[in-house]
Amino acid sequence: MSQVKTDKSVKSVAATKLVYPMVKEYYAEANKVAQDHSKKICYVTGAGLVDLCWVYDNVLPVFPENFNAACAAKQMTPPLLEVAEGAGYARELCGYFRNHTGYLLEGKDRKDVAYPGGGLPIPDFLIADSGSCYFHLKWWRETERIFGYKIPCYLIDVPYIPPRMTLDVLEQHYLDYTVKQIKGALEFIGKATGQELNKDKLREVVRLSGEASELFEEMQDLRKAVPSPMGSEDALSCLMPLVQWAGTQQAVDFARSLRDEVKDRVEKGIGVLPGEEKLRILFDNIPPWFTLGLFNYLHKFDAVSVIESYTYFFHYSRGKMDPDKPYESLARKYLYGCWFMTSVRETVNSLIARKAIDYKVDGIISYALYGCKIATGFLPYQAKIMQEKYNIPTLLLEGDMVDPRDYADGPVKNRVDAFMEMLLERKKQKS
Amino acid sequence: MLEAISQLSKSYSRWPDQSDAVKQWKNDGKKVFGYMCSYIPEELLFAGEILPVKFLGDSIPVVEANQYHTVFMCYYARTILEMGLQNGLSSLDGMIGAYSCEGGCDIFQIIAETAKSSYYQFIVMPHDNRDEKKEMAAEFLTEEFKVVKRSLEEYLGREITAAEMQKSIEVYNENRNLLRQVYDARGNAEHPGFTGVEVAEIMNWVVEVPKDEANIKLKSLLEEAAKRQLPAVSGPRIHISGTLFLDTEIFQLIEELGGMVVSDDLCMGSRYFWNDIKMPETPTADNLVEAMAMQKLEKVPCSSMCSTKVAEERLEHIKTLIDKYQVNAVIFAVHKWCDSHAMDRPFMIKQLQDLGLPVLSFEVERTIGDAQARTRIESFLEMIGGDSRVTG
Ligand code: SF4
Ligand code: SF4
Repeated sequence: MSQVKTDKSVKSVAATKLVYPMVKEYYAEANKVAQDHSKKICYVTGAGLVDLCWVYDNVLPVFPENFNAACAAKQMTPPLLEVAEGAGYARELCGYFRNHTGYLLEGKDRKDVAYPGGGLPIPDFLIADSGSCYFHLKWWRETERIFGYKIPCYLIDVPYIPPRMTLDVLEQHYLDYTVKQIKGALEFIGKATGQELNKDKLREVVRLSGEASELFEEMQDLRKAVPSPMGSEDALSCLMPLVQWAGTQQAVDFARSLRDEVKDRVEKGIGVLPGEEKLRILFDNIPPWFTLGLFNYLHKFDAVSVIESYTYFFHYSRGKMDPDKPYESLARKYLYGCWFMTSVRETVNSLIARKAIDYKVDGIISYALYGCKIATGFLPYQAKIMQEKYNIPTLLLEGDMVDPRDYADGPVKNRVDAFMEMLLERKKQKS
Repeated sequence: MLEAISQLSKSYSRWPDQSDAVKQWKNDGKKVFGYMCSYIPEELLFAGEILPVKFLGDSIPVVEANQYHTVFMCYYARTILEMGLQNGLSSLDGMIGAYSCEGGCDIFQIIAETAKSSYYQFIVMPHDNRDEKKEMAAEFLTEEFKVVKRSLEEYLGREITAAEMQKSIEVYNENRNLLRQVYDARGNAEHPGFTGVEVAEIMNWVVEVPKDEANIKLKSLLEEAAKRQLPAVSGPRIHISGTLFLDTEIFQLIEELGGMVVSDDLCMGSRYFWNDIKMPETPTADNLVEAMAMQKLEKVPCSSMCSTKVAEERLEHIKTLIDKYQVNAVIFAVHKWCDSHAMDRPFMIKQLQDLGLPVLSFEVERTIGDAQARTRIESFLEMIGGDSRVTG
């Protein structure tokens, strides 16, 4: 298999080390139930739908996105990407989609390849929402087609929030439309699993989902501390348990242990770097999963990537998940995902700029993904606003999140070097 | 080219600021709005005496726009942003967008913001809108259109009445009917009334001018076409599938090589006008808005839609046209970076090939010449030759 030179990350937080064994165990279970049919396997998307699956106790949701990221971390994506491209899918399409499709078309039949977690099991049904992107819905439809329309599929078409609204003030038909589909999805899962909807369980799931988000958000707040208690190399790896198990006690427990550890580090003044922290970076967009070591590379300049935009995508703000209004809470959570991805103006000012200021960052590294139109198109504009209005420079890198074939490690590092040196110089002049 | 069609081409410009049609409308004290995606309710605007003009884009170099948007987006949309940054959209009073394709959602927000027009509205198009989702999608889109109506009324300082909406729908339905006749005239295998290039010109023009005036002109064009004795095409009869083009080069090239574009399912082609709005029996302001929404939901879908079997639905439409216009081969010409269309393409190509149709697929950037597509089209047409007529 062709290997591309990239770097693995080195972690500093202990909770992060729990993640890989958890994920491995989860995939092992998924492959087991796919064999013995004790539970139904469902493909879900990352923006939040997973909660709905946990309402039923005989469903095991799996995330192709996570599998793709794991394949990327293990440097296994190029042959799978080539299968998809050979089947006619353009190279400019989302890397997650290409990797997954390559796996479904041929990769899954390769018994000689040691896929992460033993591979992605074949689903019994599919659900997706457009909370991250509409491309996801196209992707699920393509999966439906690949399986000859034999696997049932339900999509939640969550509307994007146009500039006339804010996240807090939504027009009623936006909520109604989303709620109707959440109910439709629950009914669909009920049918696919042969189980009745348990409303108490639904409320419980919503409560737990909110609790994990709340803990995660507390942890995120703690990361404002100087020196940074946890860098992106750790935070990005911690996402999986929070996304995968949102709505379960497991996610709450994980989020709590992570929060406690980060809190402890802050109280004791333990930072990521052994010495002085000279630069603080905000990392923006989905990272290149095949080279998370890029974050450790920043340490060379006494710099830490202290916060990410991506991790903010996955927790819906505290106090907003109300178990007594389960449908509306879930709807607002999914609408938040859409808002995050598409409300260019609002997110630049209220999300990126706010975080950049609150986390006292010196610069932003935005990773422009050629495959991901929705999260990427406006990044130059964002960089311009951040420079002109907030005086915070951005380094715009380009690539894909799972496709390392065009990723040139040397030139990327050269650009990072120049950016870091510029930021250090600016800082010197300011002080 | 028919003299009347050359005249039409002179009455509008790809740059709204230089368009005679726009100037004239504004001279009458009325408003002009720009739009990118045809999922917006044009009839509603026109009912309020607002002229909707579609952004045609232009094959200009994109320079300044790169400071605002990545290059990972169709050249079409990026040239609109470039136009705006070069002050080419300043005569527009408003902009109205529809969230259909992903990239378009992003870039349209930047276009609207940088062009600073006095009205800006964005509609969300329900993407999963067939079968059991149809009813809720219809309710949602009707509500979206009502929001647009209210905001237009606020902007105009007056009500848009049911009578005005009904009139507007009649004008637009008549326009669609006339365009279908234009397509039938072009697709006539024995005596084509129009060439492929001419129809491409007509389509560019028709989305830039008031439809009531367009209807008068289209009628006289159709009369002329009926009298014309154009020779039957000697080379391959081509169907083009894709989005839109920034010039008419591909149509010209195919004609130079002896073939002709006799059919299409482009955004700026049959997908734009194929389906009428069904007029309610007793029209009211509410049910007219609903009828507008229903037409968007029922029309031949854009690949950006996500219902099950969207590609199959488009394929059905293509097959109907292939039969109707006796097509020999299909060319997919899709903008590079256009995810939606790129997603449906492999499946659609395979299906058409299984029907025995030769298919060529290439990506369009600025012009077709850029992608060395010219040479590929040449050899494709040579390969098919004149007598390999394959019936769908
Ligand atoms: S990476 Fe972008 S295009 Fe791909 S699934 Fe995620 S949001 Fe959608
Ligand atoms: S060509 Fe494709 S990417 Fe461009 S606006 Fe049209 S649908 Fe969107």
